[in-house]
Amino acid sequence: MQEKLTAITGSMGYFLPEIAIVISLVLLLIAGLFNAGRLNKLYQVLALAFLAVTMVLVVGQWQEVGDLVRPLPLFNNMVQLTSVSVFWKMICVLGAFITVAMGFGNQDFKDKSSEYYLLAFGVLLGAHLLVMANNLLTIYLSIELLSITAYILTSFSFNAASKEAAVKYLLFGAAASGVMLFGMSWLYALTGTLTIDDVQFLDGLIKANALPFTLAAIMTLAGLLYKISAAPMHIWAPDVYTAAPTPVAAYFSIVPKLAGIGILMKWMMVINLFGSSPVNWTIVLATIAMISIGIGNFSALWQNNVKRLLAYSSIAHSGFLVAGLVAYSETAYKAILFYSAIYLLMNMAAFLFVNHAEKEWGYTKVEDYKGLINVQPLLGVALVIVMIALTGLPPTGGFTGKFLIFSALWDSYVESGNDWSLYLLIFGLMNTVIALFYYLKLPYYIIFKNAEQKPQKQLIFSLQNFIGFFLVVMILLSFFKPDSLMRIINSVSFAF
Amino acid sequence: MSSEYYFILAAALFCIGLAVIITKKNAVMVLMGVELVLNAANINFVAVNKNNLVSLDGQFFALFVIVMAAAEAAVGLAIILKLFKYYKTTELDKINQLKG
Repeated sequence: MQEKLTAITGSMGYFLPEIAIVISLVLLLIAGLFNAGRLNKLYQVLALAFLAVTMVLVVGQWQEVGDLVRPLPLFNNMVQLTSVSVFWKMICVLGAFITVAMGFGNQDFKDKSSEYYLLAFGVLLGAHLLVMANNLLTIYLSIELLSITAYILTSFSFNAASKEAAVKYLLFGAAASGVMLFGMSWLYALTGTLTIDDVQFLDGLIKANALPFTLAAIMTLAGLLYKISAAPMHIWAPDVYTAAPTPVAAYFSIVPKLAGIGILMKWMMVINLFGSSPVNWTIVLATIAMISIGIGNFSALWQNNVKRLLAYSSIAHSGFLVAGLVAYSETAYKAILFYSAIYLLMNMAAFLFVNHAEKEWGYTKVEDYKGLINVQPLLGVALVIVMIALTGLPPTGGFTGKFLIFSALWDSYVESGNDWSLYLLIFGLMNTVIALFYYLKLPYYIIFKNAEQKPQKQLIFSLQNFIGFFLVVMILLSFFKPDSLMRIINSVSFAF
Repeated sequence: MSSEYYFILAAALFCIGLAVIITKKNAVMVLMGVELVLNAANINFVAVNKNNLVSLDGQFFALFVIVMAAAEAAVGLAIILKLFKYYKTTELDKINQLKG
């Protein structure tokens, strides 16, 4: 008993970012009690300040874990602090920061703004716990924390469509997490422990029969795939992205998804059972990746709504992230980290500009962007660059990210003779060509079409556009000088 | 009684829950199906933990799941209530504004 209590108090020192998130959540809740309608801006500034503090704490943690060889178990091994998890936490906090900087768009419901920021902190807390999780209970609880707050955030447009999206998200999510939970209960039955990196856990799974193990692992995988919106659990994504407020859609495309990828990386290492797994998981993952990339790209071809298009593109991007898992090597995992960082930059930039166009000019369809380059040259050029980056063409970081993933796949084909890596590589390359058609639809309308009626020239200088342009510069820089990001990623160790 | 019976009961409950989720058209009924699935998992957790005197992981997991199910039901019913305000129905077939 005494030991356990000391372990808990000793862990507190390594838990500072999460404690900061909880404290800021409570403070925002209290601040929300005072005349919420008029203090809208104040809540945003408060939330940004809290996130900045969290970021400082996470960066502090990064320096602490730098010389850590083994993962650091916290709270009796319920969560584990590793350099990988701290990297994911940095990405999540950055994503939350940009989302909060986009502000609370709904002018009619200003009194709900403190709740909006509060729920965003809830999602962030879930993501932080998820990337550190080392126990089935922690995984389940943090996924539920992510999901339940996300359901409410989806409905924050306060119209019929967003309620519909929220109910679809909710029912689908509840079913997926229920199935995941049942899978977890089987894993517990097979092993008798909940700690996923425990010797007893791995031993139990190796000794278990092939069929129950496979079923349990696939059921657990379903819940994780739902969080990263990879096929076949992607159906909610287009509706939710279309109907939710644009900042929320941006948030969903970054934080829950990348946190899900973070835990999936660990989970694949566990159920691979040091290569003695009865199922060849590379085939399963390669199929998932191919279906995700295919569905994402082909469905996006017919889309007219920009947010829906970005939703399908985010499904395709999860496919590419899962493709990194197929290669299953340290280089591949580093490629995933790089791709995620770039994905954060380019997706956030896209959503920032789309959000601006939607709020200021009411643009929702691709045709609305006609001749934007004549009216707002700077914004037009920035959007074109972002779309090129999302396609994965040089001279942008998107190319570097895709290149690293594909070369990791090629390496895994050459080194281990894994045919599926090759198939996936060819499929991915072909799909990049298909992706050109829909990603370049927007630049086509922006540059080559002339607007019938031009929106009046307006100043486009605001905090969010400033961040957007900064992200565009970063996307370009990450192509020409990826070394600093690479240096950060290279100091990550995947010790397990 | 051996644990086997509990597992069979849990599996049956899981299948019923999943069938309810898939076949029912009413949003509230789907949520009820989800509750069945969660309780099936709970039975498994408690049954596995039955003879283990050292750790109570499974029992605690079941408690957490019950709390989470309550939270999920609260949020779910709130959203369904708001949905009813806009559509005047909770039949999922009739709620199809978003397409494509």
